[in-house]
Amino acid sequence: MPQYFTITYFLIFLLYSAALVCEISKKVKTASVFLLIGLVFTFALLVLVTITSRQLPFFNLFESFLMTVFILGGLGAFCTRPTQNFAAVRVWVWMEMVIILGVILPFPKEPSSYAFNHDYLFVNIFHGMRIVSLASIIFSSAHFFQSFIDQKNGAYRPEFVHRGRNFLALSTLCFLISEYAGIIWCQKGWGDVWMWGTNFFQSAVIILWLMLALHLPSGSRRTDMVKVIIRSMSGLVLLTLFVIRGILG
Amino acid sequence: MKKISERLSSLNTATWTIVVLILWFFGGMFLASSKVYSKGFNLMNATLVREWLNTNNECTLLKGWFVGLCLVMAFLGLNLVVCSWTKMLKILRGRFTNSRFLLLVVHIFFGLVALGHFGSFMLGFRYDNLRLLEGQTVKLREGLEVGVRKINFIDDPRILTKGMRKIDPRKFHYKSNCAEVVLRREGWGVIQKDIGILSPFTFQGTQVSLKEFTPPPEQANNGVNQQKPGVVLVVSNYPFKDVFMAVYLLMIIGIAIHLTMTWRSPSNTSVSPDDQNEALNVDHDDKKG
Repeated sequence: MPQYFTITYFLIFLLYSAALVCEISKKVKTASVFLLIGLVFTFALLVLVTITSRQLPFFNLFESFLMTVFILGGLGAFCTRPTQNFAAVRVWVWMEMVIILGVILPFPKEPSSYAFNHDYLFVNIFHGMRIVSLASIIFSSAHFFQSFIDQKNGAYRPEFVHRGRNFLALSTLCFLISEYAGIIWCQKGWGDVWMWGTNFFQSAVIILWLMLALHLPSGSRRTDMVKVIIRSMSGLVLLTLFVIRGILG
Repeated sequence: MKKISERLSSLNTATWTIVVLILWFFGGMFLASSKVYSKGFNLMNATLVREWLNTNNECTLLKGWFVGLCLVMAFLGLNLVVCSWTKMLKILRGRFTNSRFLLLVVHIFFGLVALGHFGSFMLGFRYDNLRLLEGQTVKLREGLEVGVRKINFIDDPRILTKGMRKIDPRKFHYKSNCAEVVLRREGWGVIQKDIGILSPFTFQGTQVSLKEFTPPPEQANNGVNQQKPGVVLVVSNYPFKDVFMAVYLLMIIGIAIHLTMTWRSPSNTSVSPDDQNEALNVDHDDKKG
């Protein structure tokens, strides 16, 4: 079975890379076809992972990042259609998907081992909402990347900033829901709402980073630029922290 | 005075305080991942921080880190209070839209959630890692005692020797394994209940949680049943737990409603959500960058 996971993973990697190359070379329709086929294969792989492990694909880096790529691809496909104003963002989204798949390249292509509490509702909400939050913030970053390029070229499209801010706030919301589920889990398991340790500090850093990204002042060209840079980095920051947590366990 | 309050309520102040907090937590992560200080954090988890601060353990650096964290948080709280007060005055003058008012409420809820976290370190009580075998009882405080009347462990106890983290889930049915726990206190009488992993029981705010099962002791001890595994219990009480959970939930709902209200594109709205965010922390100096 593991070879099927690996083969499908590389196939998905190729399909999304092809979508990216086609999008860059302005072959938008071909890019959409590659993307949709990629999404179908990603979905199939996630189903296979779920059936094999008998748990939702939320837990190790391979399955959780695969899930992130699937959500991100869905957002890219349905929220940045080529006919819409947001077409310029598509390249960034496909690029991010390829990068995320690249990140899991060195890790084993297999489902996470089953832990006894993986069928507990709040554990699943905790991990699941983190994945949605990650996908949402990476999608948001794509808008800010494009906005950064536009501002560098002297153009400013407020709809990009607004859409980016929307998905940044959505990511914050999902992360807070995840934290709330985590608090219930902690409360039921250890009778506390907070524990002093690396994982909790990491969650606090993520919440503070999201707060920072949402509260940065603007007004002048320089502060606007700083704001766009910090916001576009948010996806990368969360991704890095998730990888660190995934490696350390 | 006006200048000080403007500075205190500014977005710049909030931003820099958040940056300091991020760095502070990175420092905490660094300390928690070191062998020396991770033990200190374990001690912090074992009891309330209020009690941990008064103990003579050799955790001066951790204590300094914690006090520093509280000071930075208090400063952020001050920023929130001054800023909220300024906005409150604006509301009284009728210069606020619904979404801005909601944003203010969400910020107040955030302050209460932070306060709730702080309260959980300081109020009530907490007894962690109470290792008990079947038939054993432990006295805690003010006549409160907890005991284990019976342990119902349906799986092979030998699976516990590897520790709970490495346990084979196919051989461990956490929903079926439980312990019959007895809680006694003057005025309460005897309260007896089955508890399991992730399935605690609460009586008058005092929660008894089953943290894990431990392998059976190697030697019989005072007539204790040596075939059965033991349990690790946590007895905790946080008087504002329900309020904290409710406010946290309201904060999430508030953010969700605010996001829905401001989702539309800027062409359809007169004020962008970013402007609203800044309206909560308006400082003209900030805007000049």
